[in-house]
Amino acid sequence: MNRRLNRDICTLAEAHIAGRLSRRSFVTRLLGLGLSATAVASIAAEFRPAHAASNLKGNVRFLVGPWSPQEVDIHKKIAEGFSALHPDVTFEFRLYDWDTDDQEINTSAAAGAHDIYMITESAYPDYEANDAFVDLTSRINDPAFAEEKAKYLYFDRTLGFGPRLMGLPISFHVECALFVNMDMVKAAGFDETFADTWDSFRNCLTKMSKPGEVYPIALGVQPYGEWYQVLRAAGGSFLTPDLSAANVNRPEVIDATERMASLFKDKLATPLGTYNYDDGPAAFAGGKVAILSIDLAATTVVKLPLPFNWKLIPNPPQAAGRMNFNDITYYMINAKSPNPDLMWEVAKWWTTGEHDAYWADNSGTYPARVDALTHGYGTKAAPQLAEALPSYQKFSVGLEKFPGWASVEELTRAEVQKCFSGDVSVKEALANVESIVKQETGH
Amino acid sequence: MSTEPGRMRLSPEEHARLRRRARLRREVSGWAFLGPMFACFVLFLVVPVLGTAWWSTRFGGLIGGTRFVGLDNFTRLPSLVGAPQAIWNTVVFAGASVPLILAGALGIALLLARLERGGAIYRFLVYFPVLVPGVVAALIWLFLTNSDFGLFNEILRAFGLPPVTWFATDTALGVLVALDVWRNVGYWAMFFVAAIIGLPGELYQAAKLDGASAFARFLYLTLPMLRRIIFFAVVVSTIWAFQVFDTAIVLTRGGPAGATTTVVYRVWQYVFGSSNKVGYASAISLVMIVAILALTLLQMRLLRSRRGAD
Repeated sequence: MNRRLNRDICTLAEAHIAGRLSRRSFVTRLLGLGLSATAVASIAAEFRPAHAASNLKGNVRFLVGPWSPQEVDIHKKIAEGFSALHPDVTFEFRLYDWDTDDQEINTSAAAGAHDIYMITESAYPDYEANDAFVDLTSRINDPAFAEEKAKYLYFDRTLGFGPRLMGLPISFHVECALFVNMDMVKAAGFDETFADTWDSFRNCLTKMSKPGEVYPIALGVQPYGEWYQVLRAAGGSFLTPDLSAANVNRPEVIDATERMASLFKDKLATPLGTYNYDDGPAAFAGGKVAILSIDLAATTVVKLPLPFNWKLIPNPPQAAGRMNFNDITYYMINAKSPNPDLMWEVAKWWTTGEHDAYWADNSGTYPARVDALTHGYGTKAAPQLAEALPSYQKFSVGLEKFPGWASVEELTRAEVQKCFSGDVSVKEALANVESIVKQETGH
Repeated sequence: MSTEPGRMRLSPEEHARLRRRARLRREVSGWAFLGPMFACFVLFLVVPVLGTAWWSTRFGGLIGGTRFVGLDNFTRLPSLVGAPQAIWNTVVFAGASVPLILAGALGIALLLARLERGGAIYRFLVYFPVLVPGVVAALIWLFLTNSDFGLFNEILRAFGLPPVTWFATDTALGVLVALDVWRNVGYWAMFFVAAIIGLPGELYQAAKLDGASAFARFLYLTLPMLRRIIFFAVVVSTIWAFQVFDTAIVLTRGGPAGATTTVVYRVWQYVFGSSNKVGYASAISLVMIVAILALTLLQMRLLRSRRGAD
């Protein structure tokens, strides 16, 4: 209510200041609208110190993804500050599983079971296209929020999905990085440039191979986006830029996929199914795998520091045509939440520079605020993350902007893996991928 | 009602009225007892099936709108990429796990039925995996099959054999079958033990006197007399096998390369993984209900006709 009154008053005031409205008309209209009494309260509310704004009350139910084993504790810590200012606000936190996040979020949102959701960019286009979550465009574009809005990164990228802003960004996450044991690379006779060309990369893998002891590389441990960035690096995509046709089955994509498949065929990569997300990082930390393809949150799974020199590099490895698939994560508010004003205040609190820095620093990801660094980001995260950030940003590529992208990506994984395991040829696999794209998008 | 000293006599109308009332009371109390079960049956079975039929004619998702598409969801099913693999995996799983479970259960039951001392302990041990929830069982097997420190590979290493990737494309479905057998064999063994203990002992004594071997007694006495329970076990375990899902999602997430993607897993992917494919999932579910029904009828026909021939 205050916000609406404030907007009305601002509109009148701006017209008066711009000379389109006389002082007499301004006051008359203000009184005519019955705003005079509330105007003072409305304006005063804007200047009221935060600790006094304790009129907020209610229960806030979070549904978030587990970025680290301490996820809930991190949120409880952030909640402590909010609760100190607003004692009548209580919090509940529930984790979803990454393998079932879409399922859990969809059912929870449909049932109104939670208020604030942590949602990754892969699902964003779907939610932008429906009304399951609150459209935050007017709140984010509110002039009163302009100063804060300027501190958030990635709103421009978000607007690529449509005109509505459905969430506040909290992280920039690299879904498929290569964790490299540099001691093994050096022992094989290579230096930091080993991944600049495919041939050099492959030679290094061959020399690092110790059958029965060390696998040179583990692929498919976290398959989300792994082949997709190979597709993008080779100039392909699920759909053409104008989203009018499938764009998968191209000679360059076939070549790139053949190269990836050859690592399995030549036993340089662990057979599919050897490691999963839970034991892959342990295998890397234990020296069973020299290079691990996985997302950056794996830095929170292994016990740091590792007993060897390691670094993060983009995947696929060759410098030419390198691409890095990444996504943004947001907080969104359930449209069925009983108190969206409270949820907006909470979402803003959770994404301040201080809290975003704290959360990202403990989650193996990069914050989505320009002021995060000045608020302590980098004090706990592995230094390799900060070191790798420029290359990840340089080669950054996000998902394509059409609803259903996530389900296309999920369905294509199995088809691509079939050519890695030798069940089908690369050409057959890519033809199947193209069929999935057509079947799911109607193009 | 007319009365005489020491005796009560009812007019025919009153007799009929009281009979009607008694019948009504019986009916009402019968329905009252049936009511809760019937309500659950309607609420949790009939309504969902009707809902699935409704969804199967729609395009859309759990959130957001839907629109009527007629039978499009059904006509598109055969062309779905990965559908044949999901069906094949399910059929292979059922085809492997049901015979193994029932043969194993029967073998265990025959052994348990012969025990004279300590039978309860062995029965508990055999039944124990049944008490373990599917998700927990899957987690136990994740540790057993771990490439680096799993028990199975440790045993192989102890014998000087190379470790095996248990969840590779060509072995993952086998692990799922093994887990299913481990979980269910005890359940059916208990059914068979109870049935075997109840078999008439004099028939076996007579057969022994006639010189029938143990195998002949099993083949010509035990098996025919257990036919009803075996028939029940075949039907029910086949239906369960076609519904395999929980262990597939925990152990392998349907992978690798779709090697453990089953029909129900695919349904789950479409219902919750996509934002607008509930119609596909519902159509697959209805086809599956019909397929299971048809298979059950076929099994009943085959097994009953054989029983009739006895």
